[in-house]
Parts: sequence; structure tokens; C-alpha cells
Amino acid sequence: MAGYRWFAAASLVILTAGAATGGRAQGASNGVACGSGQPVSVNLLWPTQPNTLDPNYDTLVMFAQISRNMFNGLFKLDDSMTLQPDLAVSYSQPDALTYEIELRKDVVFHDGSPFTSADVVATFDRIVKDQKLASKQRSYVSNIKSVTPKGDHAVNFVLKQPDSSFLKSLATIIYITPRSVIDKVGNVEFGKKPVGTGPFKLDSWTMGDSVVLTANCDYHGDKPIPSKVEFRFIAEPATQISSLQSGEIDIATQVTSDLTAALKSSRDVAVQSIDGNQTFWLSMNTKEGPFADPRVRQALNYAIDRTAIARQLLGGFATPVGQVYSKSVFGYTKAVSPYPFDPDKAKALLREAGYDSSRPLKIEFYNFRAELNPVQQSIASFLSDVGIKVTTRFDPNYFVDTWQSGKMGRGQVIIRSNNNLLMDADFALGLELDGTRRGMYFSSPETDAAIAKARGESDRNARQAAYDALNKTLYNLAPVTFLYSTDGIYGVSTRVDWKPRPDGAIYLANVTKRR
Amino acid sequence: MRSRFINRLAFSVLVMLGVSAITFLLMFLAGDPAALLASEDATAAEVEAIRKAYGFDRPIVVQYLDWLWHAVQGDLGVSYQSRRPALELILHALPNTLLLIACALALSVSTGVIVGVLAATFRGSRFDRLVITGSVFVQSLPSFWLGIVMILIFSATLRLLPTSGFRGPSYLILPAVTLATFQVGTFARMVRSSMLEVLDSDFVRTARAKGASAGSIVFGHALPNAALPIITVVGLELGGLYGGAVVTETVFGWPGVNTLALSAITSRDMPVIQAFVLVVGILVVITNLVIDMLYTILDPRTRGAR
Repeated sequence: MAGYRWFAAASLVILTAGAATGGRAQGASNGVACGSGQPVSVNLLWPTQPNTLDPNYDTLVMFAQISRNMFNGLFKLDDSMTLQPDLAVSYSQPDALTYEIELRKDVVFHDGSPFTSADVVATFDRIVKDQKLASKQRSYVSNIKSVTPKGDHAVNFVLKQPDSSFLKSLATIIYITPRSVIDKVGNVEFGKKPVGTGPFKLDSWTMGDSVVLTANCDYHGDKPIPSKVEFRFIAEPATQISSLQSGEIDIATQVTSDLTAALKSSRDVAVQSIDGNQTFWLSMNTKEGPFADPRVRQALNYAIDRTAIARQLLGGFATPVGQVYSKSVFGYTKAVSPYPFDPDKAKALLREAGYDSSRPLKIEFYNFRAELNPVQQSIASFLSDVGIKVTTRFDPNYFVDTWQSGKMGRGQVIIRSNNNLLMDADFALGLELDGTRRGMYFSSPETDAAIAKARGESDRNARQAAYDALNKTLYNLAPVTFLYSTDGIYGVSTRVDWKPRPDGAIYLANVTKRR
Repeated sequence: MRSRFINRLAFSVLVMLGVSAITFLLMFLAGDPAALLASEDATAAEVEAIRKAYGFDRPIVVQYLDWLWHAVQGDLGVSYQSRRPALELILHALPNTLLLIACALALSVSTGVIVGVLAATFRGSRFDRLVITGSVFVQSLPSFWLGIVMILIFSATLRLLPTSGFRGPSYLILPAVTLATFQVGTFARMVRSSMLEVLDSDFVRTARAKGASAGSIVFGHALPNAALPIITVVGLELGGLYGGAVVTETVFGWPGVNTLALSAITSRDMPVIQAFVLVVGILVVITNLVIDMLYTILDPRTRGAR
């Protein structure tokens, strides 16, 4: 218990210091009048359009870009992916399950109503209990046992299981919404005309075209620089690039490696890329059938030339990995390299497991996203080269209907990816490999215990050490076929001063733009 | 005439009922709707709660009748994504699509008629041959390619026109031209052959013999008679325009009903997809009904026929 108290005191000091430096880091806007900058336009390239601006419905990375410029979480990740207070001032942790969070007292929503602990409680209540809203963020708060107000400007969170990534979920997924407004207008109306606490407020939303936000000069933090920011929804990649070149937009998102050549030839725009948080792997049914044998799973890992895929197919904008998250994510183990490309070893392992040319291993290889077809084909050919009989299939429903409901058949494989929203190892592990949580295919009592222990470890270094050990174990068990993590690629007008972040978040309050 | 109209109307209602049944069944082709609504890592209990909340646990027939009962009252369900009425979303985006289609149609019909009439009048000339080859050429251009090339030329390079979206009349030019291009060829060839047929007929020869001017022969006598097949083709081509608008809207980021539908398909937002299919189905049925009636009014010969 004494340990916790010491930690709580330390974390308070760190957070207060963080708040001070965070303020200074943002102080780039000091001396710049609110909203005096040029308007900035960002295109959110995505096959779908946002249908609601409610920040607590979806978990889609793309449309959270709008939410994070209009709303605040209790915490936030700064540019170096370190936790900083946002609507919170500080926190303490009297025990492993309890978080006492002090809130800012100087915050008002865009409609002028003050931000209080009642809004925090109502935000979490709505995500958990509102069946009609059916918030997709529900699973990210399922470890919360209770949220209770302590006066107007403090709340207590009590968790079910110890979770050191908990505060990161308050920093990346959950945004605080005003109770008074939602009580009055309801979810649907709120989704049309959201009211937040953030540096920008809603100006207009033209369905299918754009969302325009204007500077909120009552913002409690550093005043936003751009007078307006605009989010466009151009879904066609080639049109997006033309819009960037013609100066209609300033930042193009989700740029694919094949289109970077077109951007490099242009003087007015630059390609910016950064190690991202999206990691790809092959998930498989390890409970029964051929993949129950770890030698077969290792053989798949040795059979694939990830470096060739990253260089040739993905234009070098990808990095081979031997883990289920990228190096920008907390918990990444530098000492665990990707599996080497060793087809002979793959063949030997398959022989050991009882497969040869007279009795080849047969697998069904599923893909549910058309853009991954080239990668799927390439992996299938590497697997065929070591004597595996591969049937490739494309089925857009496979992920939801089969994989997600835990109904994968024997010998079935799917290529999938995970956007590590929390920038934390536990996020990917909980979704794929933890038998006590969602992990519905591979799990073992030993790895489950190791994941829980690392999750509950409050000391940062001890936690990293726990993941280092776990990653070594997982590498050898090969619960999935590790592939690569991809870079975030953006096309950016040379007139704007903006840098991408590893978590893919786009904050626009500090962006300056030359005429 | 009235009985013919009533017959056609009754038939249209039957078609719409068929469309509604297919539309409803779409929901079950895309997998478990409750699982679609839940988040990526929802537990089985969470999925069950959603299934109950949305009534997916009832028998399919009951769900269909319930859906149809609400549909005839204008309630096509609520978008899974936005929780807004699906019909409201579709009707909000529909005017943009209709505007685009109307402009493209006006552009392609007027261009097609002028070019076709000229080609027929100067039959066998170099211009005529150019029209014949040209109309095949423009019909062979894929519209996504044409759209991107036009954006590259007029927006990215010349910076004359905006690339995408809809914030004023100038935004309409590139998508309307792209969408119209395919149809121009069809109309030009149609008008040309129809005009040639009429120009060869007896009454035109009589008019010529009476000493009528070339202009009055072409525009006063021949064109009105050649117009009937054009109207039929417009009716047929409208279906093509609705379809062609899907690609055009995507390339130009046009905030129309097709962009919305494509987005709904990708996120498997079933109520919106259903509303889209139903509304467009009804539109096509109504358009054909109107064309049919128009035909009867314009051509007295068809009035007796059933």
C-alpha cells in the first residue's frame, strides 16, 4: 500500500510538471491572436462518410480526427506519446484499482455551460448503458467498475482488473460530452450539432462533403491559430492527390506508397511519413487442426520474406516485425527481431510436423480487404514455395461473421491488422492473444497470466521488462504469423507547418499556414 | 387511355413490392446485423443485447411485414451509423444527384441532337464520319478514367475548376460533363439514324417538292417525327445515368445519394442501403411510367395499343 501512495505522489508531481511543460510546448501560439491564422483543410480519405459527429460512438481512427479537435479527453498523448493531463489536472492511485482524478475548474463547453464531474460520469454512463447508441467504445470501458463524482471537480474510477493502460484509453478514445446538452436534445441531434470543450467548435456540416470548425476563442488552453479548419471527405485517392496539388486541401491522409511518386514531382507539396501504429499479421485457428502444432506456425513465419514485401510491394513504407505492435508502441521489444526468411528451415519444420510432398499441409487463406490482395497473393506464393497447398479466398464478410465470432475452421488463416489506438502493448494483446478477454484462438494459461501481470504492473520499467519477456515467449510460440507494421503516409502542402504523429492523430490548433 | 394508365400503375406497384422484398432480404446477405452493429471486440452478451434492442431476434417474416408496414408510412428504419432516419439521409442527398443527372442529361441530349441532326443533314460528309467514329470513341471512355484526366487537366494543371465537392455552380461542370460524355455518343447516333429514316420518308419528299426551306424541313418536319425514338432512349438511358453517377460521384466527391450509398455499403449500414435501393427503384419505375405516358401523348398511333 505504501508503494502505491509513493507512486501516487510521484505521478502527481510528474503530471503537474507535464502540465507546465505541455503548456510551454504549446506556447508556440503565444503572441498569436486567436483565430488569426489561415484556414487549414484536411482530407480524411476513407471509403465511408461520417454519419454522426458524436465523439463517443465509433472507434474509427479517421473520424476521431474531427472529435479530437472539437473535444477533450481527461488526458491526452503529447507528440512523443507521453501521457499528459487534458481536462484532468492530476491523478492519484490509492490502490491498484482506484484512480482519483482532479478536474480543471476553468473549462466551459462551446455553449457556455461549465464542465464538471457530472459530465464525466454521464459520458461513461452513456457509453456503457445506452443500448440504442450501441457505442462501439463500450468494450474499451468494460474494465471500469464504477465512476463516481467527488464534488464538482473530481471523479473516482474503480476498475475490475488492474490495468496500467487505463489512463491511455482516457487519452485516446473517450471524449467528454456535455450532459446538459445531450439530456436536452438526445443522441441523434447531438450527433448533428455536437458541443465540446475543444479548441474548435462546429461551424457547419455538409453531409458527404465537409465539416467546418471555427476557432473557439474561449478555449481554456492555448488559443487556436487557424481561423477555421475544414475536414473534407474525398474518397477517391487520385482525386485527393489532385486536390492537394491544386491547393484545395493542405493535408492528404492515408496516402498509399504508389501515389507518393506523383507527390514527389510536385514543388508545392511534400510527402511526410512516420512509423505508424498499424501492424499486420496472419491470424489462425490454433485450437485445433494443423495450427495447433507450434512447429507449423513457426514454419509459416520462416517461409515469408517480409523484407521483400515491405520493400517491393509497400514501397519501403513498412517495417517487418516479430510482434503484434510496432516500435512506436509502448511495450515493443527491441531485442525481438522479425523471423528471418528461411524457406529451408520452414520445410524442415513442416517435415518434422509430418507434412511432405505426398501429404502436403493444406490451408485456406482469407482476405477481407481488397487493397490487401497483392500482399495476400505474395504471401500465398511464399507459402507455396515451401510446399504448402494454399487456397486464397476473398470474402468481405469473413472478418465479422467468422473470425470475430470465433468460428474459424481448421487450417484457416486470415490476414488482418490492428491500429494500436492506445499506443500500448496491452491493446493488441487483449484483442488477439488474451484468453481471458477477446483472444478466442491462441491462448495459454502461462501467456494469459503474463499478459495480466504486465497489464497490472504500475512501474513503467518493470512493465517494459514484463513485455520483453512475454514477447520472447510469444515469438517462439508463434501464435500468429508476424508480418509488418506500416508507416503513416501524408501529402502535405509546403505552406503548412504540420508534422505527423505515430498514433496518426491530427491536431490542428497549433498549425500555421503561409498565404 | 385511362385504363392503360391504371394498368401501368398497378404493374408499377407490383414491381415496387418485388423491389421491397429483395431490398429487405439484402439485410440477411451481409451477415449477422447485430454483430455488424457491435464493436470489433464485443462479447457475445453485448451482441445479444444489441440483437434484442433492434428486434433482430424475431422471425424473418415478422421482421419483413413490420419493415414493410413502416416503409409504406415513410419509415425505412434508422441508420446503424448515425441513428438518423435512413429515408431522411437519402432524401437529403437525392437532390444533388438529381441535379447532376438533370444537367448531364440536358447536356448530352442537346449536344447529341445538334450533332446528330447535323450529321444526318450532311450525310456521308467528313463531319458525318467524324460523328460516327467520335460517338463510339466517347462511349468507350471509362468514366472514372475520364474524370481523373479532366481533374488533372482542368483542376490540378490549369487550376480553372475545383476538383471535388459541391459549393457552387462551377463544381457542377466537370462531373456533369464526365457523366454526359458516355450518353452523348448514344444520343448522337440515335438522332442521326432516326433523322435519316425520317428524311427519306414521303412527307419530307413532299415538303421538299413544295419548296419548303432546308431549315423548316429539318426542324419543322423531320425533327419532331424523329423525336419519338429519342424519348424512348432517354428513358432507357436514365437507368444508365443513375448507374454512371455512382462512379462520377465517387471520383468528384459529389455529395449525392450514390456517395452516401457507397459509404453505407462499405460500413454495411443496412437501413441506408435498403432505403437507397428502394428510392432509386421507385424513381426508375416512375421515370419509365412517365416516359410511357409521354409517348402515348406525343404519338397518337400508340393510344389504341395496349
